[in-house]
Amino acid sequence: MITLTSADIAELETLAQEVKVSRPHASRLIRRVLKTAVRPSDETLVTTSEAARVLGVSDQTVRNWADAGWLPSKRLHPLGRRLIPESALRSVQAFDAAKLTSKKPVSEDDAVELVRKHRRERART
Amino acid sequence: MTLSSWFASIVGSAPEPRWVAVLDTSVLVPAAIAARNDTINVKVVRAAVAGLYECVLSEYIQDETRETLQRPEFGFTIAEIDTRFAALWAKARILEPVPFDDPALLKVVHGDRDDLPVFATGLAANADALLGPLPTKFLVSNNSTDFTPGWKPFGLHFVTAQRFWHLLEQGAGAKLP
Repeated sequence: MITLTSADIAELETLAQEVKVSRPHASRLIRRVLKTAVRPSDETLVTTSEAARVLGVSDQTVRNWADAGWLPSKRLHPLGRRLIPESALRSVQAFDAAKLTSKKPVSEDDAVELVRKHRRERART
Repeated sequence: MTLSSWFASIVGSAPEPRWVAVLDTSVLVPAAIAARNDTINVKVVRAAVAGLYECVLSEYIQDETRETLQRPEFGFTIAEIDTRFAALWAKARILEPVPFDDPALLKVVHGDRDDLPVFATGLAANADALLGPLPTKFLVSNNSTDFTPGWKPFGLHFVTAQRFWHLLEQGAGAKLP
């Protein structure tokens, strides 16, 4: 796999255009290389395994979500592995970081019961 | 992997319509106080924050969540609660519940008028220009006394957080209740 800089890509595109008439085969070859080359990106991408770790699910679940288009994903190469933009996971990390520190530990089941109790009391007032 | 699924994985396929889910206060409050990140309620909220489905809330649900978590049993401040849910408040679509004066609607929530605003938020999702056309909608509640799991009034699947997470993990191919 070839990784090119933005300058490399611009130069090769210019070259492909210049030799389009004089050397059409070379021009097509350059364009084929450009199609498969890894293009630089500012976006940080993570593997499906890393995304699965952050989301607390299996790799297969992440692949299911990516296949459905529910989770953004991309491939740097048509035959390359699927990668997930880190930005898609950032809000989850922000949610995790804002954890409430319980002053009085309450179980999740008791919390559901308290929601019911609150709803009943609210209706009475 | 079949040849066609391999090919689809290479060239990509049309995205599946996202699911729409109203999260009841009985999911949000346990998620807020959970000690760990891997409980079902937390996973359902994290999935909403990640944008895996269209999460729908109303000001009623937000206020009820704040009020419940401010109770002496929890003792949190509004600032703490809003910080905890900042990512969810930003991601969710906040809809105005549809008017719910029709007595026929009471049957849906087993005659409990207190639950109507949550159900009416689900109906608002049905009526919403962007969310209405999406075919699969859920009302996710742990209050199984009033919201009978497995029921599907007005096209809204009533499911517990546990069931919703199970379906979500299976993705678009999940067999719906």
